[in-house]
Amino acid sequence: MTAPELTCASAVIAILRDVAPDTLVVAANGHISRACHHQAHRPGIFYMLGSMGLAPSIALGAALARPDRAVVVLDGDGNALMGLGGLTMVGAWRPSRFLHVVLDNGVYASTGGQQTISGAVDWPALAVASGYASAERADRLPGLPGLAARLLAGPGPALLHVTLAAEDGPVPPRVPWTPTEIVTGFRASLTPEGTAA
Amino acid sequence: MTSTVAPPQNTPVRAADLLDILDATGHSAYVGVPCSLLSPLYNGLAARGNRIYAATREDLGIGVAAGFVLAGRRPAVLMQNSGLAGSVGALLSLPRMYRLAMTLIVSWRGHGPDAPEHVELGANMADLLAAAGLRWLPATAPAAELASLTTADAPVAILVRPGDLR
Repeated sequence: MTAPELTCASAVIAILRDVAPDTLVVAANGHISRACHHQAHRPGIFYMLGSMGLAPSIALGAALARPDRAVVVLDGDGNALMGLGGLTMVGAWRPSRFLHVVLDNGVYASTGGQQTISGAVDWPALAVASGYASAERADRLPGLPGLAARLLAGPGPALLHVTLAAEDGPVPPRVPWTPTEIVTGFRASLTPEGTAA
Repeated sequence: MTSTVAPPQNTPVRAADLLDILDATGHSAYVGVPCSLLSPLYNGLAARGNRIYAATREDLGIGVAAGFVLAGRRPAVLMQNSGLAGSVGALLSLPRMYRLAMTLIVSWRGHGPDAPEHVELGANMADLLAAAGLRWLPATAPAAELASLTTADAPVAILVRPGDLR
């Protein structure tokens, strides 16, 4: 197998390009939120600044409140492990248009690259065993376009495990918005007029 | 440290009356981790046909509630005080920081004599609520005060002590 070539940013860009403009997105705290805001911002993204581990839970609440909208969680491996019960709640409550992306670089990147235990976890198997309707893997950019759209169109909830390259390029800048601005920006997308063009 | 907390002085409130207040103040989603002191509310919600989404941990329940708030709903999160203690970080960096309005309904185990695992926290609840940045009232507070609390633009808490609910 060739080494993974995906960076956090390239994966996020490819996934968000793939999903409908009115999709609601929760971006986990740390480099995921930063890369997402810096390189792939669009309406309907909730940028987490703290509360590590809660991304799937937050997305689950939004999905239950707005079953008319697809929901995508951009989670990390350290994040998903910290709030692993959230994954089981997704599997138990089964929102149908729900895609849980685990961007897996194997480390806690924003604290200096300390290893997570993700290497011991088979994420698609874990998701399916927890009640997800489908799960896929990706580790090369050519395999990514179309995958998120296909998973969201199929039975849900779905998990997409994306293995990232060990080297992730420059650290993206912090999300420059205040918490209130983040909420206001996300809520604007809940009206039909406010969705991404 | 010795602490003797007086038993509740107020007349117990009917679970149905508390749920009426939550209905009237727009609460439309319930998430929870059970506690024996909260079982009248669980039963009352079930009788009304309200689903209580079962969270595996209280901080994850706060996360789900935050998602409901972001999407325009006002949720309530039921939990034992031990779960509140485990959720302080999530509370401060999610509903407090983003100003997401939700109502926590928190049992107060260790209010007066209780099992050993509840005594330490029960004696320190006021400090915990302050550290978590929560305005709060006991469930037996006057209905108008509870209604005002639960329409605040912030996370707030209603505390349920032994004997408060019937």
